[in-house]
Amino acid sequence: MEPLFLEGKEDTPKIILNSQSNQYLISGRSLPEDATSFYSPVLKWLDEFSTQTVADPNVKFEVRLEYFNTASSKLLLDIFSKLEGLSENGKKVTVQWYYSEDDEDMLEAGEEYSELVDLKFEMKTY
Amino acid sequence: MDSTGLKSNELGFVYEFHKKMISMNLTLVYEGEFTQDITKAVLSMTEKQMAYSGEQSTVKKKVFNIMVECLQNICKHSENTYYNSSAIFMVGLEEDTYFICTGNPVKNENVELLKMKMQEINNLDKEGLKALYKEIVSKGTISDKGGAGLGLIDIARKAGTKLEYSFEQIDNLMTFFSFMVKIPRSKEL
Amino acid sequence: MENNEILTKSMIYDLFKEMTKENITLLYQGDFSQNLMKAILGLTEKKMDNIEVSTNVKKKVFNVLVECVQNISKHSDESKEPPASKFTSILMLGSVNDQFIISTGNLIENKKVESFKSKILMINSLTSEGLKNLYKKIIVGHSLDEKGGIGLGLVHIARKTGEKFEYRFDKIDEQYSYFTLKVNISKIK
Repeated sequence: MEPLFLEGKEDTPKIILNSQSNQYLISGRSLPEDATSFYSPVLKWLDEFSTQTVADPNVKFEVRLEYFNTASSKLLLDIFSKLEGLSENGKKVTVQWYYSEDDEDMLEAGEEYSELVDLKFEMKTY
Repeated sequence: MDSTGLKSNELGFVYEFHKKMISMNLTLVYEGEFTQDITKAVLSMTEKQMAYSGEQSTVKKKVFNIMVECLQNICKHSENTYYNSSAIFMVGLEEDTYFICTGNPVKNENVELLKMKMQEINNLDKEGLKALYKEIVSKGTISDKGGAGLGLIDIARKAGTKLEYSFEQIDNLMTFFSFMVKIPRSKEL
Repeated sequence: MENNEILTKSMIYDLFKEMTKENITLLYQGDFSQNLMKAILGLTEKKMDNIEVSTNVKKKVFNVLVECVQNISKHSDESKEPPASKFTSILMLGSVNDQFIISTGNLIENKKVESFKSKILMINSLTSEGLKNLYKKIIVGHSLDEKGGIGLGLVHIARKTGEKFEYRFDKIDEQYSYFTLKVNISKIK
């Protein structure tokens, strides 16, 4: 399956979704005004990914966000819901939620998502 | 909790400032310190605003260049000890004219020289400005604070209008220097 | 040509004094496109580089600013008839003592005023736990439009700042009001 790669910009995050190298990452700033269209290729990619079988069922999904706006917060939830669906397909998904040590808000945001979806979250500082 | 309460009444100043900006045709006012980085960021704001309004590129370029000079003039001539090194920068658009204003404190002793420079520039026509510009560039005479003269001449040449200015004494040491330049949007200058 | 009745050079000093007095650093009126938001964020970032505050606070300011600007761009109304048509939206940045202040002003249709007011009152009445629950409820529950809407943005801001909103509505004409929102962000935390 074709990997998805988006370059990070001032207001949109870097995204890597690569099932060959088993790398899944969202990092940077996510402040698009129209978050729905920005994230639509990501959701599409995950839909297709859910139909694929992979050599290594362990999927570590890395989220390293510096900021995100409320429009993105809803789309992140949509992404996590898709990831939730993956485990029904035999994949073992762990979300690695990175936050900078002094950023309690980001830690709390990660904890909240972990309460909203049935996924394993690992909180990590960077 | 009530929106008509005393506390929220203080908020009226936002509305008041907005009305004032509209009546003065101002789109951007920045007051504070002017570092290189902040200057760049302010420029980027006005640039994006002009781009959004679909301004033609020759006008955009002209306004942008003049803004750069104005901002650099502030950096050079502002006296840092006053108002926490504060100065003011404004951009406005009135019908077919952009205007750029700056204001900053200068030392009283520098007022006369500054005035003379501006008068000299305002007395010259296009050709005269060109000649003066060349003279300064070739002679390499850089005035004590890094070429105030040259910056002002450049502004006058690009704008094609007279420089407007005023001085208001703040105290025994300092005077507030206000500067305004108008840039017509029409092509022929 | 000579005399601009609307803005004269002597007003520069007055505006400077007024802004220093009110501790306002930026006034911007016009469009609030995504490009402009980026430029405003750039300016704010540079501005905060010169101030000694924690990265945590900087992030909060950044977050709140994004929501405020995007709220304006999504939810302000436009009028085609005077007097309300004069108003685009305004953003004001300032700082008083230990607080950063972000204020916005924009048009809103009179018929929406009551629902806006009750939303703000409701958010203001909640504790941090209450806000957290509301936030979760909105992002899980409602339709797509609602999720990106003013409700969520405001709840987000309230959570980030831990402060109550100050707000005000001024009626302009039969159809429109001027909506002022003020957000305070503590520099210490």
